[in-house]
Amino acid sequence: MSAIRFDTVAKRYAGGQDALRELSFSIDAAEMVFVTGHSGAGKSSMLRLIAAMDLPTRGLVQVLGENLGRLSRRAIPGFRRRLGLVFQDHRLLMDRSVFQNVALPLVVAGVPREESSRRVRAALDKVGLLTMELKLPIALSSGERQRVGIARAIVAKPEVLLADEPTGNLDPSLSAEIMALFAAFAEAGTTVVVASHDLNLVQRMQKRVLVLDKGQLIDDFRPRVAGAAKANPSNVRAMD
Amino acid sequence: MGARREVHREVPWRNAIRGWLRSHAYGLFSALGRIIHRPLDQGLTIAVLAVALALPALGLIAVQNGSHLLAGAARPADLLLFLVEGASQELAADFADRLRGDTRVLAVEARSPEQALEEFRSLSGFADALAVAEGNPLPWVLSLNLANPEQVDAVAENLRGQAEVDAVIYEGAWLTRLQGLLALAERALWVVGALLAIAVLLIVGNTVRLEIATRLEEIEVSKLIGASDAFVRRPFLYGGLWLGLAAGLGALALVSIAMWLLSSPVEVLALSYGSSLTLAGLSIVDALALIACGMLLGWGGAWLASAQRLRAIDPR
Repeated sequence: MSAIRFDTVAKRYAGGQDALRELSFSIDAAEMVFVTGHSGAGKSSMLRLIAAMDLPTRGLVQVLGENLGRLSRRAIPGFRRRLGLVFQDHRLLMDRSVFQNVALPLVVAGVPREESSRRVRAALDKVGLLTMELKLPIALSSGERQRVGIARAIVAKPEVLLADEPTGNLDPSLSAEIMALFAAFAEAGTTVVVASHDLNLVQRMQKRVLVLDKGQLIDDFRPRVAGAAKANPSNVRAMD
Repeated sequence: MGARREVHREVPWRNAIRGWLRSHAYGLFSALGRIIHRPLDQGLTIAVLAVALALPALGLIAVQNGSHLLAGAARPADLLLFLVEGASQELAADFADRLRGDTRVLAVEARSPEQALEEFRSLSGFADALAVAEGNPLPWVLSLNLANPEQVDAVAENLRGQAEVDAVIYEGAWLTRLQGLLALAERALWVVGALLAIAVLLIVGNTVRLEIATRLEEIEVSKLIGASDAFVRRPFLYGGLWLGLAAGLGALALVSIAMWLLSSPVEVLALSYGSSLTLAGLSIVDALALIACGMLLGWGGAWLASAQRLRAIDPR
């Protein structure tokens, strides 16, 4: 069964611009998918719909078996706890320590303190920041902050992990590291959707790629090793 | 098997309760932490709130002491009748008996000119003046208590026409007036108290509104990671509760200081009237009620400011 399904989804914002039109695709559980395209192509709008931050104007958005267009206001918090969100600007609370930032989803879910501490340390260990737990985000580099954001997104063991340009501010080696981390979550059963315009990185990961342009899906493919990719010229064009 | 199923049924239920308690504890203590971390801002707010709560409390103390004083005071005569000059003892006694037969009159006490003179002498300063006077200038005096003090005007009018009566003096009117004033003060106190309660609501509401504005990012992020409206609201409501509690305690402190400052002048004043009045402060119940009022108003102000506002914050 698919973890995420869009069926002829359209999103028009109050200003009148169409962010998404007739978007249909389906993502399996434990699949890792990149969403790419120029800025304004609709990547963020798509992620916002998956996270129930917006309602579709038309069409069906189904995530983890929930029809998000029909999700009641009261059901949204419970639904969001099944997701992990990574933001481009990390959105950490600057007046809280690294530990407190990562623990936030567990506090919201009412997880007991001891279990919470254990899981926060496990998450920080995974992103390589175990020694930073008492620091404030302001004392961290942007790459470290981004990793704290990722630790916060995974600490509650989400079923779906959504990341909007998670490597936007990072150098290539750090980006590769973080992508490897995401791939490992997918291996462990988490559905991972990453919006990125870092085409080199996307290409190297050899995962499924959804290409958006002007709110429409213009390509859906899986890049192969360099030689195999050449065999499909349309893919190469889409990646340019 | 049955026992095992029982355990399975119980655990999620207990976990839910524990989770709920945990999130309340989180709201309670994170709100306290916020106040402690900004002692100056919050301290000023608390001081203003404490003053607003202390004012009606002090008013209440004043009114309570006033009523206590009036209740304890011996009821003076409602009317004093000065009989005509030269009235004999028989005439005075007859007239007193006649008055006792009147249903409107509760009690009559007759005082002879000699008794009055003696009393007058004992009051400081008049002895010399009386020594100069020839004979006894004082008349017979009948002091009347009425069954119904409201009828005092009618009775006085009635008695003025009597041949035996030289003058009628209203004696108890001051007490009735004072009681009326006290009742008015009590009513005014409620009005002032209500206005100050509204002020407390508004101050707490405004504080919480500012707090929401500075914590917008935290609220949005919390909502994005699955915090319910109630979860997001809780620290603000508890924040109001803490402010109210601190303000209530502060008000109690202010009242105690005021009482301490006033008690010795009041005692000196009372002593000069030959009384040993001591100022009664707030009872334990009143003190607890004051703190409870503070907490209730703090919570209410926080609720007014946050309920709609927090619901309206939709993460973007």
